[in-house]
This record gives sequence, C-alpha cells and structure tokens, in this order.
Amino acid sequence: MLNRSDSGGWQRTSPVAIAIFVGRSAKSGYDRYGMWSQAVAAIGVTAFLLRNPQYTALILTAVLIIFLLVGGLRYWFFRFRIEEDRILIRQGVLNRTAVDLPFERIQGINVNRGPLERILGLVTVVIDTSGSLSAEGQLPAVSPGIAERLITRVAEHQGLAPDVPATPDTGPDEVPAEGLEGKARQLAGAGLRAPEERGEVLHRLANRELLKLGLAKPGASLFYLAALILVGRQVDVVVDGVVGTFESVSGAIAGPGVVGAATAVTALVLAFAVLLLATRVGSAIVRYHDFTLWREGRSYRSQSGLATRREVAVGVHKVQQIRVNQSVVYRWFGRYRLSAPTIGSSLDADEDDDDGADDAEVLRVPWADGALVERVRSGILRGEDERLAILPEDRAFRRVSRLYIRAAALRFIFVHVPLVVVALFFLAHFVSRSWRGGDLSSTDLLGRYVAIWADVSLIWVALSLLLAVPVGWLRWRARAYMHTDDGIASRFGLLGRTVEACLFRKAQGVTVKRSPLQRRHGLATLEVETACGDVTVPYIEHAAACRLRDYIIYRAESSQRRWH
Amino acid sequence: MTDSISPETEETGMFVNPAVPLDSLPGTESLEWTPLHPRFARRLQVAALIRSVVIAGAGAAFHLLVIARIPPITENLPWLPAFGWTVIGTFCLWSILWPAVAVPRRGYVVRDKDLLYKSGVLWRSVKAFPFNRVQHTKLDSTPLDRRFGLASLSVFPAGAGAGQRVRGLGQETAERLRVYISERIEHDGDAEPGDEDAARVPEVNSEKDSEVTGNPGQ
Amino acid sequence: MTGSPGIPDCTKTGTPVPGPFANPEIRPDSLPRAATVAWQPLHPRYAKRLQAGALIRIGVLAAVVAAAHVTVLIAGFETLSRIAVWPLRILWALCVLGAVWAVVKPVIVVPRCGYAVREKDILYRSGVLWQSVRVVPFNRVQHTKTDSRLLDRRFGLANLTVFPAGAGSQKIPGLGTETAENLLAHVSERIEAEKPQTADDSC
Repeated sequence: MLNRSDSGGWQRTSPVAIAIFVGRSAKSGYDRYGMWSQAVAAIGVTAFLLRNPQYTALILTAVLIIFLLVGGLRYWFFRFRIEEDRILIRQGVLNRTAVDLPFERIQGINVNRGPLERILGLVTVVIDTSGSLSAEGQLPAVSPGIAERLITRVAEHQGLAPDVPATPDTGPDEVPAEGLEGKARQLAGAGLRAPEERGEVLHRLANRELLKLGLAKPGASLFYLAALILVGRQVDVVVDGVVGTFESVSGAIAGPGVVGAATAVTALVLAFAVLLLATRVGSAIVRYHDFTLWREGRSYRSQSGLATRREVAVGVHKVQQIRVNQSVVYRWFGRYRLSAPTIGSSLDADEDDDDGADDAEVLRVPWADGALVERVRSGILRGEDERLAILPEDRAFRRVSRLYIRAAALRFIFVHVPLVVVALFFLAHFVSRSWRGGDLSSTDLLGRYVAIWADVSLIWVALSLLLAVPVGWLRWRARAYMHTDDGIASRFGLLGRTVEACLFRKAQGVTVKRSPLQRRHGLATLEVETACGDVTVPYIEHAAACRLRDYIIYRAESSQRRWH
Repeated sequence: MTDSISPETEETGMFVNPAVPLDSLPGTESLEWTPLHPRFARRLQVAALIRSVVIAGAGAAFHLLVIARIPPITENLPWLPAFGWTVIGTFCLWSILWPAVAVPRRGYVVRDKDLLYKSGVLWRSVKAFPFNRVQHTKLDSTPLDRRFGLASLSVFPAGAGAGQRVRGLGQETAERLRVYISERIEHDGDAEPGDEDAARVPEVNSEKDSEVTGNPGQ
Repeated sequence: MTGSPGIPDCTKTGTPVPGPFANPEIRPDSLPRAATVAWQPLHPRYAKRLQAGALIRIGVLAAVVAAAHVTVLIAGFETLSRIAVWPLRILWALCVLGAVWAVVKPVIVVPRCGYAVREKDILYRSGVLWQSVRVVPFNRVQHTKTDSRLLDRRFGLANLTVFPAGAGSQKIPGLGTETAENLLAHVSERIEAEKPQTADDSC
C-alpha cells in the first residue's frame, strides 16, 4: 500500500461555476432533446405566449430559477481533492461519480478560460489522460492558483518518479527541459499569458485569410456554385437549357413563362449561393478569429474564436497520425489543412460542423502554407523522421501499380451502381415484358412506373460506366505512398489531395490484404492501423508489403517509448 | 548501412534500437499457421441451417398469406414467387456450404510479441497485432459455441478499431491463449529498457500459478 | 539517420542483427495453462436493485396504459372503445410479462456475473447465454471512476469503471458502496505501481 497521506481536504470550485454548470446543463439538455425542445419552443410556447403575454415573464423566470437551482446543486456536489499522487473529483446530484486520476497517467493539463472566467480572473482546468474522459476530468472556474498548484504537483510527481529518466531523450531541435520548472511549463502553459510570452508563435491567421478560409471550407459543392457565379452570364443559358429539357420531357410548362421562370431561378440560385458563402465565412470567423498557433515546451497549442477563446493543447508525443488535406479550393490558393489527432480522437469526425467544442484533442491548422506544414511536421516528429513526406506534391511519393485504375473504376461502379439498381432494372424489365394480359406500358400506371424505372436505372448504369474509368484514373493519379526508416505516408484523393502519415512505432496493428486481382498480379494492400484511423497503401508489390509489415511490427514491438 | 533500414544512431540514453536488416526479421512466410478448431465449420453450418429454416418458414408464410392473395402477381407474374424462392434457396445453400470453404483458410499464429490472424477466401488478409499495443482482451461464447466446445477471443488495441475477434477456438485453447496474452501485456512494463530478452521470457505470475512449458524462446 | 539519401531499399540484404530481436512462434500446446479464477460475486442487493429499476419502468408503462384505458372507457366513443379492446389487452399483457421478466431476469443474470481483481489485472465476466470474460491489465488503465445513481444509493451500491487508453471502458456494476470505494483506491494504487511502459519520451 502506498502512502496516501492527505494533503488537503475536499474543495469546491468558486461559485462562478454555477454559471458554467447552468450553461452546460442547458447545452446537454439541448443536445439530448434538441429536436423536441425546438419543436416545443416553436409551436407550443410561442402560441401560448402570444395569447397570454403576461405569462411570458413568469415562465421565463421559472425556467431560469430551475436552471439556477440545478446549477447550484451541481456546484454544491462538485468537490475535488488534490492528494500526493492523485486528484479525486466527485460530482453529480442524482448520478454521483467519483473519478480518480493518478498523476502518473496525466498527460497534460490544459487551462482554458471562457468570457466570464476572463472577466473574473478564473480558469477551467482540463485534465487529460489517454482514456476516454469526457467532461469528468474538468475543474470549472477555479482560481489560477489551484491550477498552478496542480501543475507543479504533477510535474513534481512525474519529475521525481524513479523510473522516468532525469535527462530527456532530446531530439536535435529540442532544448532540454530545465528541471521542474520546464516540466511544469511543458505540462501546461498557465493559460494566463499571451502566446508570445509562452512560446514561439508559429502562425497567426489574418482576417483576409479567414475570408479565403470561409470560401474554401465547404469543399467542392461550393466551388461549383462559385464557378456558377463567375460564369454568371452563362447562367441564363444553362437554366434555359435545364428548363427546356424539363419542358420537352414533361410537356407541362407553357412557352411564354419560360423566360420569367429562368430569371427567377437564376436569382434564387445566386441568392442562395451568396447566403451560403456568407454563413460559411461567418462561421469561419466565429471559429477561427485570430487563430494563433504556437509551440510551448513539447506541445503545440492553438487559440482561436471570436466569443469563446478555445485553446487546444496537443503534446507532441501524443500525436498518432498526421493528416494534410488539400481540397480543390485549397489547391487554388496553395494552402493546406493540417490535423494531428491524439489517441481517442477520430480524424473522421468533421471539425466545425458540430462546433467541436468538446473535441480538444485534435490539433488543427485550418489554413497553412507549405512551409508551416513542414515546420509543424518536423516539430511533431521531433527528429525521429526528417524525410517523411507530408506535402501532397512531395517528390518522394511513389505511384502505386497501374492496376489500381481498374480496381478504383470497379469500386466506383459498385459504389455508385448499387446491385439493387441493376437487380431492379432487370426485374422491371422482366415484369414489363412478361406481364400477361395485354400491353401494360401505355395504359397502366404501374406499367408506366416500371418503364420509367427501367429507363432511369439504364441511364444510371450507363453514366457510371462512362465515368468509371476517368474516376479510376484520377484516383490512381492521386494515390501514392512513401516510407522512410521510421514512418509511412500515403496520399489519396480524387481532385483534391490528402496525405496521411504516421510513425511505424505508433502502429496498433498491420494488415496485408489481397483481392483476387491483386493475387493474380502479385500485389497487395497494406493497412497500418493507428489509434486514430488507418494509413492505407493499396496495390504495391506483395513481397514489399510483407517486408514492410514485418518491419513495422518489429518497430512497434521493439519500441520502448511511450506511444500515447 | 545503406542497404538496411538504418539505425537510430541519434537515439540517446536508454533507448536502444539496433539496425535490423529486413531479411533477418522474423517473417511471416514460413509460419506454421494454427488452424481453427475442426468443429468450427460444423458449428457455423449448424447456425446457417437454423437460420435457413427460419428464413424458409418466414418465406413460406409470406408466400401463402400475402403473395398468394395478390391477383396481379398470381395471374400476371406467375414466375415471381419461383424467382424469390430460387434467390432464398441459393442464399441458404450458399450460407450452409460456405463455412466448409472459408474456415480452413482462417488461422492464427501466436508469437512471442504478437498475434497474427489470417482470413478470407477471395479477399485474403493477414493481420498482425503487437502485444505491447493490446489494451485488453475478451473471451466470449454463444450457446451454440459452447455446445461445440468453442469460444472466441478478442484482442483490442487502442483506438477506434474494433480489434480482432478470433472465433472458433477450442474453449481450452482460448482460455490458455487469453492467459498467455494477458501475461505478455502485463509484463510489458517490467522489461528493462533495451533489454529485449527480459521482455521475452514470460515470468510466472505468482497469483496465476501458471507455467510456461517449452517456450521456444528459452 | 545515417545520411543515406532517398528511401532505403528494403529488398537488399544487410548486416546481421546487432541486437537481439526474436519473435518465435508459440505452439498452442506450450501455452500456459489457465488458472482457476476466484470470482467475486456481485453484491446480493444488486439483483433487487435491478428488479426495482425495471419494475419502476414497467410501473410507468402500466400507468400510461391505465390512463389510456380509463380515457377510452370514460370518453365512451362507441367505435374507439371497440377498436381499442385488443390493443389494450395486448398492452396489459405486455405489462404483466414485463413485470415477470423484470423480477426473474436479475435473479438469473446477477449470480452469473462476477469480477476478480488480481495482482496485475481486473476481470469481469457476464452473460448467461452469451457469456464473456473481459480482462483489463492495470498497466493499461489510465484512470478509474465510480458512479452511483439515485436507485443505486438506495440499495447501497455503486459501479466501478476502468478506462484503458483509447475507447472501450469496462464497467463493473453492482458493488457495495464500500467495496467500490476500496476497489477504486486499490485499482488506482495498482495503476501507480504498474508503470505503463518503460520509456517515457515526454519527460
């Protein structure tokens, strides 16, 4: 039994936490019953309030009181205790939880401040282990002193732990941490000072760039809309064409109305596009206003946001994978989007559609030029791998086998022509042919439906057959890979480009797959599974894939370093 | 040194990572794959048979109660029910016969530092899971499994992936494998840094009171 | 790096291995024999707690059904009450069956669940038909948590959850409050004792 001498009793956070709890319970309630609350708010309440405005104040007060009560109770039941080697957090009114966080496993301590906390000089401490800890490892609205104390405690504990070497294995670009102070600094930037005081600022997003980011973000669909606006003069022609086709097909639209309809449609499309652009730019500004990326000790940190300054801190050693993405619009501007997830976070969860406030575990640089990407890369890999390619146009990338075109084309067909469509086509065909009892295609409603369905599936199949080869070729052009002694990078895409890279020692599992086509040609697909997704290299030589696999698992198995 | 994967000469202190030429790495070509339990194919076939009977019953009920009472189908499309039955029959037959083809192609190898699992008839795959990345293990069995004396073992590495479930092990084998993997995981931290040998020799966990007999590594 | 330009060619042979790295196969018959695990049962009150929880839920359902029944009877719509006869009967039958199941199921399930805390790992087994045993080694556990809902506390129970790295936590329900507290302390001491991996490159 270890010595568990208490060094301080149970503490509460400051009452300001009530406000935070109120906000949180409102948000969680909205998340859980969002649709219901919306519907109720929209229909019932408004109708009621419109008829009886005198109750408005009453109901609002009641709701406010309930929320305050809940917040107050949650505040009252929230207690924490910092012990010698751990921190205990107890919370919950009805569902009481007690979390036990050993200092040994604490990976980082983030100090955040919302607008309210900024005014009152308080902070929210977010304690981070590698486990799936959601909101349970947080100390809302505590004084900065407690944060500092916790940070030094953890630093002391981890610094004095006998198994941890006193001298860190420094990479070439790394300054040795200066004892406890350095340790404390790398565990957490106190979140109280400006980035410039805390570390080397790498990147700041200017407002003009934010505008471009807003334009680039929604991806291809908006690009097409923008293109439509650029060729505005042709819009009428296009719409005319579309309307004309409709007309000839259905025979429903009368002649004289066409011009008016066309202009109306054009205006509508334009307005819609402008609105979409505006919201995109607006959301980009709200999310990434004054985006600052800096490096502090061994972690990368970023701050951004208009109302709430969100700070993301990602320890370099925790990064499992790096992804650099360049959509078509990004390509036009010559910029990249970089994300570096840590364990427990998923790359596939799309960032800012879902405000992503809880997901503080992925380092994201939404708008970066090549030099910055390279800089962040070498910072994250810290001299472990100097040559791992991360930019899509890197010359070190090697193409995969040309047979990949065939595979990609086939996959395109199978994805876009679901077998159901083909089956339905044949079924419809046979039904309309073998229907006993007269000509059904001209009279019966069912018959007409069947005939239309047969045509639609035929057109669908023909179109995807036509597109399959170009798509396959484009995918093959984008597909490439490279590996060094220590890591592997894979590039893919259709019109845009994405590079995913990881270090061999971060691998969780390696798979070599072979389809019948691959077996005939001595090829294979290599999948390196990391804690945040896969790095896949298709259509390379089977022997090479096997050797690479053996080497990767050797590197993972023989690595004595902590990987998360 | 250019011929091999080069060493990390700049690694300092305790971390030693010697150069290893790829050819000397323990490969997977010469491995002796352990097949799954011989009764496993039979177990899958029995499950498929049960499923087929249920599907056929439901199909027959649907045919008699619904299809047979829709005049447009009975009068105009007499071939449709037959077509449906053909599809169902093919599917059932396929699902009953397929395990006999697929199961012999599955297999696993337990090595000192990892677990390998191969599967697939047309799309073949070989997966490797290093023990020092495995987070936890799970053993489970369905009633049918237990009737055939089988069990499944799952290993879970960190992250979003579902891990690997090795189905169709003998109950005894599964249990012993689990103990072995547990030991490998639990001794992961005990090894002296850089001392690979220490990591390889499985120590006897006093509480588990288990023994390693004839570990090839020793 | 040794400074060799470009990507190393993996296909050529090189120098022999300086350091020992071997990864021998382990034959199945040489695997360690499984020791019998001393399973700890869940708290005897846990079955009662589950019954209570399920019965409360059934009670709510029954209340809704009763309200519907009364409404139909009082409203006295001729057609509606005629149509509603069978649905109401089925709903009442469901309530009764649910209540029986709520009482019987925990009695069957709870005795077959159990946990075991050993020196280096924690085990949890569960399931009657679909049985499973899950093992989480302490050197993979990142942190631990206990929680107890209102009903749990009425029965003096709490649940323990251990979190390994990444996803996939393991919950052990139905422990006595004191057992849960002790286990939490024990597990997290074991976590401290079992260092996760040898080298920590973050220091």
